[in-house]
Amino acid sequence: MVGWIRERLWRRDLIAVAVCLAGALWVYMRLWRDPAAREPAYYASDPAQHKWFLAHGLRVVTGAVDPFFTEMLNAPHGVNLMANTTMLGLGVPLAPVTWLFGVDVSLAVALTVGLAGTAFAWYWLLSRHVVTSPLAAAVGGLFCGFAPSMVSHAGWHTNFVAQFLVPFIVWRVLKLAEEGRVVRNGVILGLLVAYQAFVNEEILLFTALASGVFLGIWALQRRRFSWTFVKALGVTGLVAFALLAYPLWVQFFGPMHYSGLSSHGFNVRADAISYFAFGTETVSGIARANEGIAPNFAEENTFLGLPLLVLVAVIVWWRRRDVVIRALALTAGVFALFSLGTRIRINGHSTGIPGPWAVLDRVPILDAVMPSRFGLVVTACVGVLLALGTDEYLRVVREAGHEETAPEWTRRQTGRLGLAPARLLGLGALAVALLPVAPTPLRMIDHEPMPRFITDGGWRAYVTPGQTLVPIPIPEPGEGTGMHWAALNRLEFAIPRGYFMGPEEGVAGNPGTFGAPKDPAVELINRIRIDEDEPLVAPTPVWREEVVKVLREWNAAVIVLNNHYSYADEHLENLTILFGQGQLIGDAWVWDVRGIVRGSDR
Amino acid sequence: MSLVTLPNRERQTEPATSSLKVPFWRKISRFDLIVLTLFGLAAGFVTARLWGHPRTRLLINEQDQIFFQWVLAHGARVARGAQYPFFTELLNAPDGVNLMANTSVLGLGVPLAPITWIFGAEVSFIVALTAGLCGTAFAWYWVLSRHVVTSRVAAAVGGLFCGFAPGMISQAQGHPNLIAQFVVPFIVWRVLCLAEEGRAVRNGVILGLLVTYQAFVNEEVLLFTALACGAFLALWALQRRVFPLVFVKGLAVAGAVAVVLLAYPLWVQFFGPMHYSGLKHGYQPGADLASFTAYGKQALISRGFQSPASVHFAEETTFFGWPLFALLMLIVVFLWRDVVARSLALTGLGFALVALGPVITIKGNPTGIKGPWAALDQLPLFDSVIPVRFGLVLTPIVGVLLALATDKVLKMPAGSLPIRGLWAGVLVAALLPSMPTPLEITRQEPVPHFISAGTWRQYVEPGHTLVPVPLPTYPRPEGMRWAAVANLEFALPRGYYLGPRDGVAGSSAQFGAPERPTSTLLEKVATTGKVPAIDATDRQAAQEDLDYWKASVVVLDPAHRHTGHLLDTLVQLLGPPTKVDDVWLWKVVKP
Repeated sequence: MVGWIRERLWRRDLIAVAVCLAGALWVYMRLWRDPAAREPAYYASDPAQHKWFLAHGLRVVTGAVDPFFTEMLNAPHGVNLMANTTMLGLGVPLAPVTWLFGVDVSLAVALTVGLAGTAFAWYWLLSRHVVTSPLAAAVGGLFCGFAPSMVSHAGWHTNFVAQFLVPFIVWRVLKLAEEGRVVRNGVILGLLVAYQAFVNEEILLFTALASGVFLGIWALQRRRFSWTFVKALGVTGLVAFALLAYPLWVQFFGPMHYSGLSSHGFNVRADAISYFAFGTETVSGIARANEGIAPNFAEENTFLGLPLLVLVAVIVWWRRRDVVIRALALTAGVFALFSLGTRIRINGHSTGIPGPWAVLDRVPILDAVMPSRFGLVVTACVGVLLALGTDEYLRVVREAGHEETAPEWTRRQTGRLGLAPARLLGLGALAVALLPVAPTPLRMIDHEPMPRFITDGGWRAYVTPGQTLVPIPIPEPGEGTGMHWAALNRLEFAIPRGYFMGPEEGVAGNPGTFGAPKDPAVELINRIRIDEDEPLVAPTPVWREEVVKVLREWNAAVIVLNNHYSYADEHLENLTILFGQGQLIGDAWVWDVRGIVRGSDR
Repeated sequence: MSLVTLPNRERQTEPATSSLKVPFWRKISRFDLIVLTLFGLAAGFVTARLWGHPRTRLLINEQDQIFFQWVLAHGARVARGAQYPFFTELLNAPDGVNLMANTSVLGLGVPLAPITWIFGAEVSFIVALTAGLCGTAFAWYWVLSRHVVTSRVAAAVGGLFCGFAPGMISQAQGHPNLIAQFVVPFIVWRVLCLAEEGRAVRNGVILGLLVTYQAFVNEEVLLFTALACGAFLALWALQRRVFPLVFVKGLAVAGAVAVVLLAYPLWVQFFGPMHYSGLKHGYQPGADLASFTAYGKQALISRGFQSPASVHFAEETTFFGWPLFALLMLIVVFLWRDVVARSLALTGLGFALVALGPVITIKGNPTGIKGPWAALDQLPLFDSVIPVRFGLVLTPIVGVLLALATDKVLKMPAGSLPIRGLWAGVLVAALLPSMPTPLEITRQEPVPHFISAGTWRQYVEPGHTLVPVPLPTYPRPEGMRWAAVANLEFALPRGYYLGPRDGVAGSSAQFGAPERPTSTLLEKVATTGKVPAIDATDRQAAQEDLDYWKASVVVLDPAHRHTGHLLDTLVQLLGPPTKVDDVWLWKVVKP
């Protein structure tokens, strides 16, 4: 009997894995057609950055490189990788994939497994510890994994997609109150926390905050306080601290660390009506209809859709006496309020009314959070509420079928229809609420082909360790191609600048910002003319001096321009003025600047 | 079987006798009044941006609003006995306009005449729009609650949808003729009553009268109603394998009554002066395949965004949104064993297919696949219909299905099951996103004081016209608004209406009058804002055109975007103007 149950459970789990994987493959269908040639249509430099990070993960496994700091990016100053979302927790386990198939496939695997894994992990948690019906667990799990907010991040943010540890952390947090296993429970949670810190610290912070708020509300309602819980939490803290002490020291005090964020551009908050809207990459979503209520397509954290909100309201109202439901609903409400940020916006208009987050915005660490992302917590709460509601409904219907006092219409229609209408109604409620927000395959576009000079290792004849390869356009936030080139070569050459978080002015300890400090010389190298009639002004000797100075600073060996790049001709014109006629090697224009840098060519 | 009015002798005797004894007003319950109030408030909400600003605001579909202001003013004149109802020479002078061949809503204009007399056509338009929405919703509620379902709540849900569905709100953008469907539910009910034994004459006469009235509200809706009733009854009868002969008798009586009453107006429409034959304008927009699951521009969730699946913001007849679409599928499964519901669903499917138009499009991209419409558009009458409007039939079908499903759910003894709450939630979830927002408007200058104060009387001789510049035409027939405000006391040349091509009665239809040199010239200035060089030929043509139009006076629209450019052009054409009140005008010298 036990064996049979176990077998059944296993089969169910296998089906669940298959469904979750199928869902993730559906979302990334267009990426898998050619992972090396495609990128998300709403492009930022995140995919290139994440490929660079995955390549770094491989280097950490194969070579003796510092996992937490690198000089291969933003050479010669380097980048504090702990203060960036380096996702060693994904890059290291995926090292074999990266090694065998390259960063492009590795990123596709990370995204697909991340999304499927998150859905399955929630399914597992719900089916084992929260609900009895596997269907209810599947509804909750699939929603947590494929909710509009998740699919919104799915194009860009590997580290936000991979939340598969979160359900386990939540489960182990709840387990802390178990009597007599303080050390064991504390150690397990500590290990999970340490691992999640290497996947995404922001999600870890959210998980901690959400667990705290939920338990606080629950404990208040139940009027309970567990010393065991506190003790075990102490153990967890010790374990996590011991494991994370050095990395966190690097993050907060190591080279190129930054403290807090420079204020501008980070106050990404949710519009109050965004909760009613359908996400762009969902069945009902329309990109233009979402203009003005989300900062960009990757931050539709709060897009639940009006029908789903109604269904959740019905569930909460129906089970309002259930302490867990109440605590979950309140937690969702608290984080929904937080997500509105410091000043509440409605339909694109600032109301000037301060949101509750205004109070917490001043707390260190919390000031680095984008409030809109609290929508991810709301998403998870909604997923669990859906699972609980479905489970409870199915239970009530089942019991109505058994009861002698069952409604007349259920008894009369024995056999053929049975409780079908009630089940149909429940199914319909889920369909009405969830079908409109089901994900559609992410839109992808082909990026320009990579130059063979980069992919076939032609650069090796020019660049020696300690020197840099300067990609054109020069890597910046929003311009990730150069990082993609480095990632394709397993970071065997260093590049200047790049897309990363570092201190303002490049001075360790300053507030954090995106990329290296502005440099007029870089703009001079990057400059192109948009208008054909306007001539490019020849550089003055002073300008040229600036350019040579910055190339020396980088210890540049070659400047490389992809001839397939859409503005290749424009860049070619400018670079020819600056550095003379380049060499067309295969499909790349190359300027050997070693002479200029050494000073022999002046 | 929920349609109690279908042949069923045992049931019908008792309520029939009791209904004779109880006076009409005693049958109205408090719940009915609450529903009426709520529908009235909802209609007022939809038209909220117009109320209080009748003279300075127009819907974004301004040309249709102006057209209906003009015909409402016409209706008020007819009611006064001052006007022949079916043809006018006050528009498109001197040729005139066949008003039966245009949607002249005498069925609204005549009853609204007192409002038009007192407050003017601008106010009556808003009243017509608001009453149309509220009336349609309440009429469906009435028929559903009295004859189809037992639960008043279920009837209210159905009525709400029939009156305020996305398709209705979209048509409310300037089409009071299409949304005033308050007679439709009664027609449907009386059609079903025809099967009643022994009352063929009475029932036939009642239906004939209703049909006649609807013909004066909108013939297109009447055609759709007839087709939908026919399809539904055929499907129902096929499944039930019944064929009541009394039905045919009643129908014949209804036909005879309607033919007698409508013979003359229809003769005018199809053979009278300035009649046309078929639209044949090549514009046959169909419903986009993606539109059934998309949201309309006025839907709560759309934030004013027009879906790529929309052919026009006023023709979004098939926009239900995914949640409601999912709910409909569920309802069809849920009610499949009910013959009435099944026949309704199949009728709806048929109309949805026809509405797809000649070529199926997806999000505005033609697929090249032909729709069923391609087989129909050569039939008589069908060549005068826009296929997307077949989608209008879906709204009441969905509304009745919602009412039937709600009724059935409420009849289930739920016991401990939270079925009612869940159903309420499902309805709200499915309907709320597509609930309407107030209709979009544009701000306008009021009609010139010269017109509204009656100063124009000193300049227009009897039998002659006032020529507004630019001349009234699509897309902005401003002059018709002036005439409506002046209660059509002066005649206009040209206009925005449907007439025969080249002005030759019997040709296929076109919007407005055939080209004349001066109107074309001025229209070009009005759209481009560029003053052309005027030579003697132009001046000569202008004199001929003014002569043709029997013009007394030419009046320049002072609120036009390009008034300055038009003024420069007119000075070259007609010489220096006279400034009277707030307009520039040119008195036309008789040769």
